[in-house]
Amino acid sequence: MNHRQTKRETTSEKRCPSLRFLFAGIYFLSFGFIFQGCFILRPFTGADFDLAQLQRAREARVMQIRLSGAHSLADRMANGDSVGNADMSFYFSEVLLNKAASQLDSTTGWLDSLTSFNIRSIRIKLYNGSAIATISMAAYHHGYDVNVNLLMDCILTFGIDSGKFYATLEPFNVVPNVKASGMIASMEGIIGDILTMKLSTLSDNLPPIQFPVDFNNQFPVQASAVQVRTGLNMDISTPAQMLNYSLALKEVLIFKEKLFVAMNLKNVGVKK
Amino acid sequence: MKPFSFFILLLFASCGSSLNIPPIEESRQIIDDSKPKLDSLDMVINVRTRSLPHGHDLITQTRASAVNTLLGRVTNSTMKDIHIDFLPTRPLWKEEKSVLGIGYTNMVDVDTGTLDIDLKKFAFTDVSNNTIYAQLEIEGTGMIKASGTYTGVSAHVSPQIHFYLNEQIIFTVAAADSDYIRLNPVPKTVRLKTKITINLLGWNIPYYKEIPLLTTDLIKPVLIPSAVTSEIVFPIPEARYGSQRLEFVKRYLRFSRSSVRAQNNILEYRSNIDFDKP
Repeated sequence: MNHRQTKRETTSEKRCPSLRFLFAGIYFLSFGFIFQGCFILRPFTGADFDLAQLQRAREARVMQIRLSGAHSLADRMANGDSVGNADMSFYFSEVLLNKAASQLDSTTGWLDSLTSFNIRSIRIKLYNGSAIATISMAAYHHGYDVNVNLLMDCILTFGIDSGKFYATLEPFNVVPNVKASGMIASMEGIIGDILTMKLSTLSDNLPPIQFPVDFNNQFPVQASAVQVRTGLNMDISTPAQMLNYSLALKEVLIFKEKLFVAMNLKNVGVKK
Repeated sequence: MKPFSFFILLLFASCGSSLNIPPIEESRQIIDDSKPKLDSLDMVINVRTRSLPHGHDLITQTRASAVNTLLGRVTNSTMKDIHIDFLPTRPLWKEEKSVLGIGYTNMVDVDTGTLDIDLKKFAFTDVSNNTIYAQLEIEGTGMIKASGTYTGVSAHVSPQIHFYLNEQIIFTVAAADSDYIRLNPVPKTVRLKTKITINLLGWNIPYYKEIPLLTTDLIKPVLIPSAVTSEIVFPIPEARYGSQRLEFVKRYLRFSRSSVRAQNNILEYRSNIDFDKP
């Protein structure tokens, strides 16, 4: 879906773009002076954009997260009980996580009435102790026709809500690449920064990744009927029964290329 | 966008730190320091996790003890698990007698009756080599209505009847591309021990019979849930701006290469999963 086109059809704020740009430009230039020494704006404004620096910073941050996760996992493996010591254990492959995450590929959402985002792809990588999703996306400000292409790294955290198992995406790295049309170059970065700041709220807007398991479950016991006609005539029957049960999360461990979830039974009830 | 909100955003932008990028040397140092530590930890963890199952999109392992917890709840929920309707049995018992050359017949018929008996135990005792051994125990006592003739005199009585069965049932696991693990009982004849204590006009009849029952009639396939759903509703971003931030799309699960293994008191289910649009 073309996310630029959709909003343009619905908003009336684009009627006089040149005048709006003029006013906005004055504001941006004023604040540009105020914050000209600020380290935040500079790396993303046009000429200061250093791809190698961004790439290294991103790699370092990923490495730190992986190291922290691997430390925790190694401690768990050394000191905890054996993996799989639970009523039910689930092993989800990295491939399955990516199949679930890919349901978000090519979807478009909105941060506010003027800022849309388009998820191009999500790819999840499972490491020992950490799960990291890399989202390739574009954010677009419809008011100023500014497009920010992004690579966003997110930590996946796993949880259960109403019996559903899901992963939420928490961004920790944002690597933007600002593109603007019809704007003066000095303003691109500022608007890009604003868009990027808006994207810091993206975790509230990104939907969780659902897993195809339900921990509120049923255990059916089928009815049976037997006719006895030898010696003593009788009909023996057992009614169908349905056990409702739920599972309580014991632990989630992330291993290389697989996610392990341990669950224990709780709340077992019979329904006839 | 309102100028004021731009101001606020700029203010936040200036104070935030998520956009700060460390110098390349600093990043390189972090990477160089972290990599050997990470490699070392990875090696330790990989050795410890080498035996964990892999090779399918989803693998579930269910302990036999967990299934027994569920089955235990079934058996303990009521004392009336099994219902028996007695139909007329004519005769249940008969004997030809002769006194002074005069022949007569003593006989007892079962007329009617109902009885609810207790499923005392149904539990997996061993799970190995893709075979599940279970113990089934049922027991119950009640009254039935009977009538009969003794030395030519007719009478109605309500004798006590007692049932008991304690047998091993064997199940085999069936692989199915679905969200259940199906356990099929192996056909086998089990014996329902039946004892009726009849006293008709002072005539004590020791009725005892082992009634053969086929396990496949008595026990239907047991469906162990794998907790996998057959369909899923994915939340995705709402494509048009509005009050709703999310919309929901349904997908059906297509299972392939499914298999079930029963070993070491664990039921293991494996499957590959794809998401199909309705």
